[in-house]
Amino acid sequence: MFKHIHLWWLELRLESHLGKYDAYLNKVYDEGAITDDNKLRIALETLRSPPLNKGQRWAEHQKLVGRQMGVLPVPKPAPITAPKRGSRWSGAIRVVFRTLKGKTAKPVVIRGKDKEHAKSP
Amino acid sequence: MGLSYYAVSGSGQERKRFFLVLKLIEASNEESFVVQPRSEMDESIFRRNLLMLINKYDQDFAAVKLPSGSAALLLFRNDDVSPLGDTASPRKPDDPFYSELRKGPRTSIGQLSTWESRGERNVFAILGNWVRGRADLNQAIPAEQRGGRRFTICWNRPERGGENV
Repeated sequence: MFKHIHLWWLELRLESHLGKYDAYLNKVYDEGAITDDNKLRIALETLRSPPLNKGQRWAEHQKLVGRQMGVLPVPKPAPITAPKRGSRWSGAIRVVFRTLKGKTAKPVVIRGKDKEHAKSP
Repeated sequence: MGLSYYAVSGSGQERKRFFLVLKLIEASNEESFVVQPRSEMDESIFRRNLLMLINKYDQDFAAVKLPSGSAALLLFRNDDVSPLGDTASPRKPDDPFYSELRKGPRTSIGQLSTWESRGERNVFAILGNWVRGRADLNQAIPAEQRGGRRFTICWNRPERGGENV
């Protein structure tokens, strides 16, 4: 959730620089970035980059319009390799729960198997 | 060089947004030239001549349409290119970049930006323009002060079908 808010704030800041929001969206298209982490990185890089001149702004705008219209090719989004994980809190709760479960759990005895083992010499 | 030219006005009217509310217009207008070869000319020579002109007159870029390619390109001074569009059409109010002819009939009201045709109406933008010394952007442009017809390079959209030039 905090990442969402941070990204929203960075996008607002990008819109106050001429052409940088278009450049940011084009980079997101280029890298096929889906996750908030990647978008945050791209937004920060774009914000820190030097201001765009008129030609660069025009080029970024036309490239974005072409992609949105489907005239220019859009790269496929990069596959997400890392498994999806919850927040730190959910991870911590899971660890505590597992620990408690481990302490309170009793050893499981499979009676049928025990009988078979008992029969066999 | 074997090139002919005529003067146009290259314009940009982008909106800068501040904190959801304030949208300021960044209008720019500069003298530009449409350059074309007088007779048959090899594409590589034409491109080399253009690059020479861009560097000679300290320009950042030129919009180029070559016969071999389907799309117009933006040619930067370091020889980089970026696709611009595959057709040209009369300017619409939401097109931020366009060229304005100097001669000929005056532009129609449908090609003007909204702030040009009826003046700026956003109170914050009016105040912002006034503070930045651009109070003229708050007023509608009188009919006698309008420039020539406006054209923009764009991608071929279905709704623009009949208007392409």
